[in-house]
Amino acid sequence: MPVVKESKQINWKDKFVELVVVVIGITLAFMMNRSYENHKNKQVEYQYLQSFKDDIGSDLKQLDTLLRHQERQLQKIKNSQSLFSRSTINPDSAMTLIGALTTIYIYSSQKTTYETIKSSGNFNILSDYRLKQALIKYYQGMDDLKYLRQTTNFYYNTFVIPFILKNVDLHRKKIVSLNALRNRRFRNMVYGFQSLLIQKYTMHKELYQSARTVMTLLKQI
Amino acid sequence: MKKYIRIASGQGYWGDRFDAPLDQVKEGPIDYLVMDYLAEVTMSIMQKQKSRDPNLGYAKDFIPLMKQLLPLLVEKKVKLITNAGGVNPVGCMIAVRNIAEQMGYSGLKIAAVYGDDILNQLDPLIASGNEMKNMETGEPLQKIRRTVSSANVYFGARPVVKALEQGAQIIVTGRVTDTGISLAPMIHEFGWEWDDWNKLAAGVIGGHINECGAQASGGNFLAGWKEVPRMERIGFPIVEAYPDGSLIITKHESLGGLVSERTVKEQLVYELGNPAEYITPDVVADFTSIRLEQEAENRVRVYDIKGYPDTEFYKVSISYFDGYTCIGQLTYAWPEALEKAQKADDIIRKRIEYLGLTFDDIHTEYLGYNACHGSTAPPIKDPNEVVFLIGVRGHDKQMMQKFANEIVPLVLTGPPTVTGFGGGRPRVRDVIAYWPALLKKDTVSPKVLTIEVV
Amino acid sequence: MKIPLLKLAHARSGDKGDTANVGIIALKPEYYEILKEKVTVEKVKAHYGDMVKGKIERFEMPNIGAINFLLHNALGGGGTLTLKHDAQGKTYSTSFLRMEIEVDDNLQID
Repeated sequence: MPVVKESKQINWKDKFVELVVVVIGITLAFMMNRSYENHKNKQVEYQYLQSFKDDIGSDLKQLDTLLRHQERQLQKIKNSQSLFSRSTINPDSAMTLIGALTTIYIYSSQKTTYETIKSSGNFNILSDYRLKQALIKYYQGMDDLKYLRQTTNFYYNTFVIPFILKNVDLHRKKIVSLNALRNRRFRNMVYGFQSLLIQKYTMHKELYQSARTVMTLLKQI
Repeated sequence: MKKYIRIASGQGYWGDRFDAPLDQVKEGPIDYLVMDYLAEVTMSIMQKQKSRDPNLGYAKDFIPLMKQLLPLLVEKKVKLITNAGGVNPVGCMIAVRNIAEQMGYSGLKIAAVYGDDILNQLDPLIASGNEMKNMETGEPLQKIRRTVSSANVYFGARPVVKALEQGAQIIVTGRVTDTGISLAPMIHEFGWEWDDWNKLAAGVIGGHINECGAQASGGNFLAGWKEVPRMERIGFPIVEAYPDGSLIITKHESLGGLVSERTVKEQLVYELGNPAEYITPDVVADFTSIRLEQEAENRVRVYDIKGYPDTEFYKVSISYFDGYTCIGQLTYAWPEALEKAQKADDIIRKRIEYLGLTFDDIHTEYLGYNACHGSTAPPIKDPNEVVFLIGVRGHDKQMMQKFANEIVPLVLTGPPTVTGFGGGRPRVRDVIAYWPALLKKDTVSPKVLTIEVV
Repeated sequence: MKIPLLKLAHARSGDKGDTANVGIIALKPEYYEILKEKVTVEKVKAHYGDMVKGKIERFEMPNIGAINFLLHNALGGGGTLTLKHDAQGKTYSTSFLRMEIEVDDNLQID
């Protein structure tokens, strides 16, 4: 039946145009979706960046103060070491030393943003490679600081505190027996603790540098 | 500057002969004692111990050893460098410090090298484009991320040198390379520059010779093991290093063992990849440049070593849980021992099928017949006995247990004259697999912590 | 005549993942040339057959009269995964030295 045959004629040209329109339609929808996603991601990224700026900003402020305090503390310990070479011990400088030994500066960083972005699996939302590397380095440094803090605390609790409790009258802020300071153990304790404090200071300084790097990158974006 | 320094190997792996390090310090002059404790699997075991008790995570038997070793080290002014710190070098350092204090060694400096543990940063590292692809298969780490139990960067000699500069006599490290602990004293004593590649390479090769303990001084020695004197008190190797980057491999005269060109050559090729590119964190050493010369009895000179600049990557050792294995065994006696064992294999495989068990791998070996040499071994006619070994690997623990239950019943249900089932059901073991990868050096930095004994 | 490599060389083997390495070392300097000529990758492949599933790499070390071979996929998965009794490939050294090679009838062998 030739009639049927005729009606089955397909206009390929029209079909092709139709097809192209459909393809373009899908692509457009896809692109719009993508751009929407991108836009959303950009927004989330922006929020994270702001939040990192707050965290690192407050870390930097804290570290800056901390470093100045620590410098003073170390200077005090260093100055009063002449104590050991003199024949008579000056009670005042001894008390200064004790004071410097009993002060512990603790750095508590703002880790919330980092922990959040890490556990949510959103870290790749950050688009700047250098920033990501710098962040990892800074927070890994924080992880490492934990050990130093642990050791310093151990030293503080095991040696410094028992010594003070035994030999210093805390009410009258006086040393009970100056002779205790002539002990080799006391001298070792001071040197040992001092070395830990120096290491902690150095590490804080390194952290300060890494935080600065992060901040510079944050501001560039 | 010293004319030379003597660096003695005290331990080739965790579990090596316990009195070897004591003998190394007692039996003659040395300047440094180095002890290698860490293998790939070790890190994951330690990580598990640390998760149960945050004070643990290092080689536990290093501490009782230190009780014996420390007085000798102090008396002879020998410095100790070891990677016994595992995943908790600082905890290990504190433990050593406690012993030193009990013994009254006030003023002694102990250092910990750490910062190699990157387990906490794995996700951000992956997300920022550090894929940490498996060096063997090329797959990205993300694939097995959920099952990772430890991740540590291999550090080289740098942090150890730093600890030496700070005056530490005892240095416990985390994942520092086996070669790095021998190289560090040379850099420290001779002031070698970090780009003096030939010398650094020499130190690495000294480290490679030291790292497996007695394997360089007559242990596991194929070309004349019968002639090695007094293996029951084998002397571990000593690397005598010179400022020009030449080495003499030797041992204490009073101890057994043997140091010859042949023993050193066998150790040089041990676990070697491309000999022209032996990659370490500090330098790429060229093993095809090494020259050897027997200078005297038990003294071999190693010289002319060449090295090349280091790469921009650290190697990372990652361990992860990857299912289970179970290996069963039974012994069949003459006559027709092999045929009986083969029949047992046939039965077990049919049982596996019948019970509907599926495994990633099933593997049979006939110990005493050809388990070691496989098809390269000629057939033996009617052996006196054969040990039948059958192992499976899989991820379904229940199926593994069902397999384990199938071995002993063969004694009453299978071929005759069978024994060796005293151990009962074989154990199902966790597989902690190893994922070797690379990480850009600028992402991590080693840390050193020194502490003084009060 | 045909002789096993054991007469000309000693060896040590070890592992790196699923790869076994075998370093064969000439017992006398003059044997090194023989090893170099006769112990080819093809020969090693034929010697091991199914035991080595991956590729074989060969590195010459004339300085110490040795040749280092890497036998890939030869340890049943390697490390902790393997079900092989010789998990670390420690005995590959002597299975290698079982290989027979053709040498001159006049060759001096101790």
